[in-house]
Amino acid sequence: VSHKDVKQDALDNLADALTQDILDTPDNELLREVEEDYGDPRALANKFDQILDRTEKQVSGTSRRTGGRLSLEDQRRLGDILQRVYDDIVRQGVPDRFKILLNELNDEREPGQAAAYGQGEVHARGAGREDVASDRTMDAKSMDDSRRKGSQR
Amino acid sequence: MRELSPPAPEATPPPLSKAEVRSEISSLTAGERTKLIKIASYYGRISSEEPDELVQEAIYRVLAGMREWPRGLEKLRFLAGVIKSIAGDRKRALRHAVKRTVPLNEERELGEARPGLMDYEGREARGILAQLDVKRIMTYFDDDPIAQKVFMGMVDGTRGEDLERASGLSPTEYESKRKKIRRRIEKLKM
Repeated sequence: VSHKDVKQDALDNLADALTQDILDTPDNELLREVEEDYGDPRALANKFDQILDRTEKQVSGTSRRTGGRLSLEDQRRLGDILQRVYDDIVRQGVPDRFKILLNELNDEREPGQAAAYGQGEVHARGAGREDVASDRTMDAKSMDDSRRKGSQR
Repeated sequence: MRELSPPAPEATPPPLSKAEVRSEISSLTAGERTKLIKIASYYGRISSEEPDELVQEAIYRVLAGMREWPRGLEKLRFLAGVIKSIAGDRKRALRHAVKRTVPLNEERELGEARPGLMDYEGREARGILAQLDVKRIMTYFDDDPIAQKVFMGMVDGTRGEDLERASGLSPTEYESKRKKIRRRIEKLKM
């Protein structure tokens, strides 16, 4: 168990203990505390009502629309996963073949600068196209495989 | 002689229907609604999640039938459990994201922010790291060594009578100390 796990468990324990205290606290005593803190004993209860109102609209809206909308939590978790997936791609930088394609586009706009690219880049461009072609082959192959698997079921 | 058939397993009662769930939630008293907001604020602190968001998500899951409400379970305990479970999921997701983007130095104090992290996850990481410093919370009870002792028991996971006995306080004094700790933590901007 690492140092940080211990600390996180400590805060979990603390939240559990405070929750137990709150559950054991008589309602009227708690409302008095809320009045002391917010000037209105119903301040937090009213806050709950607002949240409940929003959520009821969300639930009824969901069942009317599609009956299968993701919850806020699931939407956010999905967003986190996508962000992590695309973070890796962003960190990989722009592949050479795209840089070359972009340069080619620039060349078409500024024909005078076309001679700036040497033989090595032309070779790299060829290699890039090969990669694309092999990607396509792989895609087609994997689709073919999955169809075959599907027909075997 | 006829063979005895094994006794039938006890049937689990079905969970509350959507109408029953709605009725349970709408019958929450002002005190109970207040308690749920407070409970969400405690778990919000460990998950770096807004308490409102935790409450909303918990109610959503229950009303939408995504989280079954077992019959006979006391409503506040059940709803508090849902809030805790959502906070736990968020905390784990956040910890995973932090591990990927913020290589933590085990030697570094967790309360310190790592400089130069300006991305979203870095801010989240700073937020949660700042909240993890139990020692810092302890300093808010420097004026009361007994409260510190009870607080340490709470974070160690000691519960109920065990903690009361360990504190050496009478039941009334112990209750009063627990209340003092809770009230002071509630007022902290951790």
